Amino acid sequence: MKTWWISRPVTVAEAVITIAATVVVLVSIGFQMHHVWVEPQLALAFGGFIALGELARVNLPDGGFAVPLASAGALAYALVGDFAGRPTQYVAAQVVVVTAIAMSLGSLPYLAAGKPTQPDALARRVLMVAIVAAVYRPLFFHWSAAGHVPKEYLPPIAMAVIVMTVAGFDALLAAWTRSARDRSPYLTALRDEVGALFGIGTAIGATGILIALASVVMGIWALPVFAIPLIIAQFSLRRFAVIRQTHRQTIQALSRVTEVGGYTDAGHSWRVSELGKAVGRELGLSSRELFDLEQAALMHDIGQLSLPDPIPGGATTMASGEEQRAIAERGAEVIRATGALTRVADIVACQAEPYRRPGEPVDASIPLASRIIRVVNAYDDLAGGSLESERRLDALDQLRLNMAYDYDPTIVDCLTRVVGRSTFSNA
Amino acid sequence: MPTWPRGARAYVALLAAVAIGVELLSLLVVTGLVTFSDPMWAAAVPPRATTLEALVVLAPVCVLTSFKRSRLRIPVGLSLNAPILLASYLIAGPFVAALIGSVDLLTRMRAPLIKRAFNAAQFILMAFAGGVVYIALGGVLADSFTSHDFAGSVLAPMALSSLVAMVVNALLIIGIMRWAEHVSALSVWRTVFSGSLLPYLAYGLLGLLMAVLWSVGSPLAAILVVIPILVARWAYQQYAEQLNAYEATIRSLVKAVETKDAYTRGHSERVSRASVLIARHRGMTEDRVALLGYAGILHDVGKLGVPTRVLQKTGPLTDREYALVQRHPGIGQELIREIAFLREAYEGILHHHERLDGRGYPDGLRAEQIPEFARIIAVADAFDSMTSTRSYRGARTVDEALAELDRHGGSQFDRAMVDALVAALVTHPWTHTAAPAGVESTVADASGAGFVLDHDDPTVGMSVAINQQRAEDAIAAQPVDEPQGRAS
Repeated sequence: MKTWWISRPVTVAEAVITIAATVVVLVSIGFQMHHVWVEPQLALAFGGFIALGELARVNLPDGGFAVPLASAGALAYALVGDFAGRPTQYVAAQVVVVTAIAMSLGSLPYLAAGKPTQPDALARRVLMVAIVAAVYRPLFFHWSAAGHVPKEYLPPIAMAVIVMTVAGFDALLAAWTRSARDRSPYLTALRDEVGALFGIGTAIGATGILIALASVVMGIWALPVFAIPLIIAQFSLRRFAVIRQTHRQTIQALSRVTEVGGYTDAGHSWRVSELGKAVGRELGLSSRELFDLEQAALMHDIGQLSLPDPIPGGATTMASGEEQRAIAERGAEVIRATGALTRVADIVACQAEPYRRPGEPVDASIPLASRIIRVVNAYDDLAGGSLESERRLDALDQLRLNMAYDYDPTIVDCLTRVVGRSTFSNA
Repeated sequence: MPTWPRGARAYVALLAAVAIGVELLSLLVVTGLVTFSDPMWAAAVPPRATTLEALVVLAPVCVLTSFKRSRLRIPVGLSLNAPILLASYLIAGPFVAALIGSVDLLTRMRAPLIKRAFNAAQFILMAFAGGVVYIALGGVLADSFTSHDFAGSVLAPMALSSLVAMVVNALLIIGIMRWAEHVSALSVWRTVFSGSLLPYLAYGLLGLLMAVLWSVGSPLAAILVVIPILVARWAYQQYAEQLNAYEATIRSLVKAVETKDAYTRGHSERVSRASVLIARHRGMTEDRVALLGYAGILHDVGKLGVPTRVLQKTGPLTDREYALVQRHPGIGQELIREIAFLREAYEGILHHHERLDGRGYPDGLRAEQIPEFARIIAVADAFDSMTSTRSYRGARTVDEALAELDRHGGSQFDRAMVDALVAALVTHPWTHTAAPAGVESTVADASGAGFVLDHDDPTVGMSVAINQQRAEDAIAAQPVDEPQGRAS
């Protein structure tokens, strides 16, 4: 596959969205070929703004990226009614063409540099702007043709309703692509996407509407003035992403202290966290829970540092239940001392507990993440980073023998699926 | 709930009484029961429709921004209520603004009554004072904004009135801090005003923008302005929280590592602190200071790769053991290599045992070849080691330690860094946060009757530096495959 395209199989969701957007853009271009371009300066100004916004994208902690400024600019272009006192004339097709060209231009440098781009996300953005424009612009033309200025509260309310509806639809589509890509349940993905809407999503929507409303009197100045809060938010988001990345790398690096100290096998923590995340994703953990699981998995052996002598090979699975519990407790104490990672500490604390005890129902007080770590940790102690299918199968068989109390059967089944298709290499 | 001193209670009661008076007056004026004959003040009371619109639209926003404030954990000097209240009196005059200020009472129901009373009084008085000054200086309400003489009828009165509101706010806060916390007025004044001029300016502009949007017939647009700003603050808060979590995580993980080596408890933190002192004194940029702080904390993380029995060995180390100890900077650097953010910190960690005369380890770098971070950490490291108690000697005083550093300046340490430390300690007295009671005895237990030599102690290090070559020979002759400490 070419470098500019995603280096994994394209899911149906991505294909459908990309094709839909392409069709909409082609139809719009066809329409514009037979009609005059109106208000070219406006198109240039907004197009330039959108392209710059696309260029100034923010990398998100989950590996994707956001383009708040480009989205807000495109939204505003779709929603501008009166501009500097005069009603605008351009139609929805023009909005679609300008947006599509500007967004593509803005991502060209990334393509050229071989950086990852997300064509499906771009397609979705164009699609959403197209819907907003297709609904709002005829409405505005109707108002202005009727000759009466609509009541001052009507346009903003109409804009807000349209934008919120479209944002909801966007979340549905985004969740569809995400669940297909990560093999996570649809509802989990939707929960994450809706959560994201309330953060920067609100700011994007509000800024878009604001620019459109304010441009009645402020003209093109509305664009830079009202972009300022969004630019500031974007800076914070970027710094947030950097520090989150650093946090992840630091924990990854420091989790290796147990390896350097000879307490665990090289790469053990990393493999447990990678496998654990894959399992957690399939079992429907939200992105926040996954982040917690990842950190807990990386640090799950930190309690071993308090042992006078390392356990041979670092395999806690071989230690007695009491010992395992003491290590988990000690590790949780260390993590709890950070004062910031309480949830992670709880996960680590419960990792040595069986998911149920003889004669009792399943212990619901043990976090799913802890149960996952327990299973995956045992698997890695048995199989290590081995790629031999025989050793992997042996390990899974051993886990299955202990499913009555120690290892949650749902997780073991899920792990079996994940291991079956994974090629986790020995890091 | 902590009981508030009587002075504070009386102060808040007084403020509340004044605020209630203002509210009553405002109610009378707004309902038309009291009218002004003076045209200037008559103009300060907007038509009934505008009053209603302002109350319906702005009051909920004020509630929203109040809620937001209570959830902020980082100290953000200013509440977002300030621009809303500014916009309120620009749009509807001081009386309506005072009424809007009172909605703060509806928020944070769980907070102690005295706190809520103070906050509400604060907003009411701020809005009212600002509004009265605005009108008195000839300011006009949003419905009468004109481009003709905008500066004289809006900008100038707005700037001065918001300044007055700011001062009123500061005075009220000084009062409560004075009575409730016994903080001196001057230090409160400094905290309230330090670095907040720019936000004040930005918030002033924001309030003005809202009023202008309102004046051109977009009240909803005026409200929408707040949302991106709230989100920007939220994003900043996310960042700040993540940063806090990050720093806490590094600290506690390092503490976990330190449990292996009873000596160094708290050592990493203190080395970080001393390094930062040196760097700040030398005028290093804050970005690099932060990095150096991390490097200081992490500088000994590689000790984990040194067998515990070597770290806790009593008596002098053999050449081979010393060679093992000497591996720790390399192991530490290896560990944190993957943390992209800490680039410059790697070198600081790798080379913190180099000496200016080239007799240090691991690479025997000389003078300027040694990275700046490493030269700073080396000084901080030795300084903390000497001012800490060791089983083979007591803690030295700060002055003795500095004298010792000075003696080794030029040969072992960079004199510039030593001088910086000496100068920095004049203004920042060194408090040695001693290890908690009991730790010292643990050390004694671990080391039995003998003593453990501290590899950071320059007076110990002297004799070892001479052994450098022998140590290397020993390593070469007897390769250590497993520095992991499994060997019993």
